Amino acid sequence: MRQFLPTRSDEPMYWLMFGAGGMVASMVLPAIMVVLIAAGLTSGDLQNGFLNLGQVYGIFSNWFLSLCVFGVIFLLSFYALHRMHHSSHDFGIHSKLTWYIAYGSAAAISFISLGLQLLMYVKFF
Amino acid sequence: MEATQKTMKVTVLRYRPEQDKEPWEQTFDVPYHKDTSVLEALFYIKDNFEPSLSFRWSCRMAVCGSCGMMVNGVPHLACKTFLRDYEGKDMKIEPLANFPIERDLVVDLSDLIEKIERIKPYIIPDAKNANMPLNKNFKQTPMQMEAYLQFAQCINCGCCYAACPQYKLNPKFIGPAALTLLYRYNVDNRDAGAKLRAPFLNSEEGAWSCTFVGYCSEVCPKHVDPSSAIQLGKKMSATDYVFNMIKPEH
Repeated sequence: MRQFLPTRSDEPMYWLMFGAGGMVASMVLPAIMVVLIAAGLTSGDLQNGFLNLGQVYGIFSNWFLSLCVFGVIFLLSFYALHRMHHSSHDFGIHSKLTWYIAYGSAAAISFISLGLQLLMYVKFF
Repeated sequence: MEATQKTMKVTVLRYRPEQDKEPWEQTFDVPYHKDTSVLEALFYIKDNFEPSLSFRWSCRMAVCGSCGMMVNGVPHLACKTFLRDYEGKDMKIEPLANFPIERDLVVDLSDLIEKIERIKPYIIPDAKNANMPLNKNFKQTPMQMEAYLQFAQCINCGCCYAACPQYKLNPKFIGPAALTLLYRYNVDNRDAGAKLRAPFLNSEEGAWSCTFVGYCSEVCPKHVDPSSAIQLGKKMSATDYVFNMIKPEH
């Protein structure tokens, strides 16, 4: 007897990114903030709580740091918008549209961030 | 003693398909002691006011899983819930949510039963162990037993399905109890049936319909923690997904 078997869901892909983003939000981001705030408090590197332009260039002229910043932004945007996509389902919106809006925005945020960083890297600004 | 006995207003949802068009509420004054359970309150109503009141019950000690029902909107086992905990309030008893009502407090659980059957809730030995002599023991360490023991405490009462907002939204969702049993057999070291169960776990109606609300674990009268089993199942399914990307099986 041939049994009908359901098809495999693609959700693991999004869920793994969501999980990675959750780790970044709960562990990496606080560490970055502690380091930045500590640096600002101890050496007076921060002007009015912000990095100055030279310091920002300093970060983005290093390809490794640039990649880290992109990774953080990419994962955090997928993390947040994945949660909102599923919450909209809980609130009774079952349209496929939320899928496009959520992952589309996450991809757009990531691409904009990547683009800005590349421009920063080639000293466009 | 009689003079100090307290009474509680207990409202029961009634539905008799041969005479009622839709469910309706009936209220009774039920005397109670500190050890009166909701199930005993229902016995009192059946014995003294309404002999036609229908409800499922059997063991009276939270083992059989027959008397799941909504008490003030929360899924409970009637035998394990006591009137003393609702002192000063009224009580409303309704049939388990998210299931069709058959009569009064009796619901049609056939969807739950079908889903539990679907995920093959039994040990499927591998070829090597299939013909193991009956006088030989299968060795299992305490650690190997611990992996599944908590999830094996399920009594199929259906409280988790009544609590699950995802099952309410999409009745195709395999649901907390069945997915918990799926995980329970997959992690049992005597079992080799994970491949046969994988299509159900990996599907949209499987673990991936769960959004980790966690209310199932809160209401579970046996502290099985289905939401934890489903998240562990997601981990299992995600690993399978990645391996299938690297080396597709079909």
